[in-house]
Amino acid sequence: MNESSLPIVKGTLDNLVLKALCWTPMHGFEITQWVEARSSGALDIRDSALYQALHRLEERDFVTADWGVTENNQRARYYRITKSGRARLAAETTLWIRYAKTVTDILTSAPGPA
Amino acid sequence: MSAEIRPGIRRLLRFITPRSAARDADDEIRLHLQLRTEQLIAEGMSPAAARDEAERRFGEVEDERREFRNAARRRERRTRWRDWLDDTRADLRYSFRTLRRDGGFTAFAVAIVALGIGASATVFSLVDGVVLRPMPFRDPSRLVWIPNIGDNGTAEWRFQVAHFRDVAARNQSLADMAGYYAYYSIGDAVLSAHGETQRLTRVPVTCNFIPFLGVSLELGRSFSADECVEGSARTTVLTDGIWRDQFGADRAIVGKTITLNEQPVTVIGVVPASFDFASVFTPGAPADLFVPYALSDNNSRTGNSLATIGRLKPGVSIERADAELVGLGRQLTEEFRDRNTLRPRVRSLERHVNGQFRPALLVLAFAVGAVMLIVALNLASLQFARMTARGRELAVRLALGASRGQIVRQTLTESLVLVAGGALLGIAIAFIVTRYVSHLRAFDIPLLSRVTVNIAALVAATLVAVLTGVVVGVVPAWRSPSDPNDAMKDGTRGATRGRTHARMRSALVVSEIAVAFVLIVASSLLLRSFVRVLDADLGFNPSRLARLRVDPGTRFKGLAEGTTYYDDVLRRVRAIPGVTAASLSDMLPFTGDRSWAMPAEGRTYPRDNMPEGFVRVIGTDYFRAMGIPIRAGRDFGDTETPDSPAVVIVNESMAHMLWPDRSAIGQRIRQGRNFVTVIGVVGDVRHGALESPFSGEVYFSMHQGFGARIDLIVRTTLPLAQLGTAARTALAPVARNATKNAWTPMQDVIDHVASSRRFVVMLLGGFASFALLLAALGIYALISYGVTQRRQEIGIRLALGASTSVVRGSIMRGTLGLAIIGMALGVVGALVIVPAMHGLLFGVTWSDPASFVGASGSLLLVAALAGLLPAQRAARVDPSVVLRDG
Repeated sequence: MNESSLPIVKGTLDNLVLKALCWTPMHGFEITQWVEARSSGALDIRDSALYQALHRLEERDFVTADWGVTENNQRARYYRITKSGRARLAAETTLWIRYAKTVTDILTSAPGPA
Repeated sequence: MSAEIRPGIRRLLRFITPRSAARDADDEIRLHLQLRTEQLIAEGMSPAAARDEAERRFGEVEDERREFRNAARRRERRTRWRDWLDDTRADLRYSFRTLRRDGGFTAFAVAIVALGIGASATVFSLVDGVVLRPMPFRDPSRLVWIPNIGDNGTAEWRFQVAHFRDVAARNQSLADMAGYYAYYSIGDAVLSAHGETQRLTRVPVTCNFIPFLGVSLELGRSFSADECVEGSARTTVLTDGIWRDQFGADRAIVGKTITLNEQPVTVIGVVPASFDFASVFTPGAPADLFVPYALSDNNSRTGNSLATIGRLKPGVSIERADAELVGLGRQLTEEFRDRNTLRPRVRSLERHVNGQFRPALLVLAFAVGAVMLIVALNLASLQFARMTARGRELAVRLALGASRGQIVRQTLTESLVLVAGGALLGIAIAFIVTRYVSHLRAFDIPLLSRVTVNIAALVAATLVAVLTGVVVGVVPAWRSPSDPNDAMKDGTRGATRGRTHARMRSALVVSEIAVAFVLIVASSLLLRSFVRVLDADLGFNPSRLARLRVDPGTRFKGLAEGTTYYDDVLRRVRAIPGVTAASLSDMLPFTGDRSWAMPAEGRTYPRDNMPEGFVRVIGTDYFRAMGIPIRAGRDFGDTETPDSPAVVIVNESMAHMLWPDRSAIGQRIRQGRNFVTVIGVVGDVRHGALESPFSGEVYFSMHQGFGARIDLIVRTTLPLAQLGTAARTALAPVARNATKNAWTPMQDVIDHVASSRRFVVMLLGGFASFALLLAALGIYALISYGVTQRRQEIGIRLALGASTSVVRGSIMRGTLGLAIIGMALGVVGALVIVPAMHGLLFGVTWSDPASFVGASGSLLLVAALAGLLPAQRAARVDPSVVLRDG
């Protein structure tokens, strides 16, 4: 992993996982790869942290999981986003955008009195 | 959660891959590490390095494995819970469907469970409130009732004030003593406010009475010592009821002055609602306010007047206190020869208050337990019958792969749904009926007003029902055939296994009959006692007799003024068309027990064997109005005046007691220093309880003196409402106050006296009828079901030439056979249980043959009726149809 990888902001991993599953059900490693690919490896995510996020989401019924088989005929646990998971993702995304925009606006504005 | 796999498929999947949660977790980690390693190798790493890197990126593998396993286990638990909920929901749906299809059965089962639970909870609440729960006083177990035993050795008399003072001062066993004036009269105080007057009942109590019982006042304080001295400023403590009704719960009432009998009286306190004097000491009678009763010599001269209670010192037993007071009584009687004889005894106050009801309520508790048992038996019997009928359905489901556990679950759910429905309804019944009963004023049962639903009793009754539900839900399903083949066959033909079921259900029905028999015998014994009590010769004729309390609003300045007033009232009432006789009395039968010493002139009596007579002060024409026969001499007339020689009329018992060897007419009785002459002898009248024997009575003429409270009695052909209207018009000019009170039939007084007995008879009778009904239904269900099962056999018999009467006869024989076995067991049960009731019986013995024969007769009749319908149905079986269909 390269030196410039970013530490992940607390709570965002759950949203990334939900986003990953929006497309299609995946097993754990597929999700890891999806996140790495989308972030071009810029995010420093421990693999186990991702699984913890999955378990958390599953307990709160944002994702469900069932056993299936991979293309190579290996037994794997496939995660699938639920209806409430999608709702959660939509809400979190809106929140994130507003938050990020506000913080970005402040940080990039010219220095001066309020 | 639409994306979730449906429970059925999930279950199927689990069936295919029965893996443990831990293994699943391991698999997931292994796959991840493997795929990561492959990826890294593909990017050019060596296999060993790739493996290390994969593990590094994953984190602490062992810790994670534990995490994974925990998560998996939590997941597993959630899934199982969800599956359970789904199964339960499905079972419930199925149960509701089956129960709806079987509407009659469902309604019946729910109804019997509801009645069973409602009745048991109500009766146990009563028993608890009246008998079991300690009285609402401080440390009630140390409170004792101290009667002064009368000359006859049983009557409970009161204490003379001087004796009370001396016993309180000299005894070693009691921490304290208190009392109330036992002869306070109902409605003796006229409260005037805003131009209106209202009759209230004052209870004179000893100074320490309220603190003695440990009652803390709602407002204000109790009496101080200087308020309990004769001639001190008048003070009163209000009961909660009067404080609310008359003074609008005014919290500033303390210190205010109210007007009682045209005298100013200062309110110094209010007792809380929890202190219900009347309901403990004088059930069924009112008590509105407390006034101090001075322990003065003056009050001592009025005779035995104080109802006395005491508080035992810690560690002192009732027996020890009793022994001491008996000795003290003898000593005081010796020492003060001018006082009344004192024979104190010490008894538990609790027993004194509820003793009379204890056996009755315990009988009721037993009865309700028996009813609950019958309910359970009946429910079990019905469910067994249904399960047998559904044997085929269950067998098919077993054959289709349902596990026995699933079947049991299903039948259990069904029976619990039934019981739950019944329990809900039963709880509602318990609350409604208990509330209703505790608000009844018609029964003079102590502490009735504080009865509330006893939650423990309710829970216990519900548990019994639930337990029955579980048993009848599980057992039949468990006993359903293991080989579906058998069941299919058994369902079509009455085979051996059906017979064991039938035997079990016969046993249940026989037990029902036995229990019902005991209940019927018990209730018929009580009913017959009750009838005997009511049949007791009253000595007067209560029918068409009405009474009205006359409140003369003002106090009379002298006897003459009062006499004029009352004569005027009588004249006006007698003038009403439809009134055949009218008179006055200061104490109607059953409304008080004032008695005086009645020594015959010229005779000396031992001090402790002074003849006593109940005293009544009456107007003219009293005996004709009451329907009391005049045996000799004459009635009072207008010739009696305050100035004419004092005369009395005695009853036959009194006459016989005083002059057994000669006519009473013209004889004289000593009253203090004076003598009164007997001018007439009248028939005996019952005055205390319906069960008590006649005793001496002496009637005085109102023209020669009377008390504060007067009842007008009228024998009339008019209905009460019409009498009321007529009397209001007639009395308006002279006795405006009297017109405010309501006329009540004299019969009410008698009903009130018999009320506690009627209460028990009603309840027990209700239970017995319920038990009889249940037994009938149990028999009907059993026989009817048997006929359905044996349709084919019956058809064959008929085809082979058996006559319909033979078929009918064989079924009736079976029915009556069951009833007779049940009754035989019932007789044994009754012989064990019923003797315990003998204290409640009056005029019948516990082995009263009529009750036993009656119970047998009614049970046989009911059994015959219950068997008749199915027997008719059997006789109507058409052989050709049955044989073709079978």
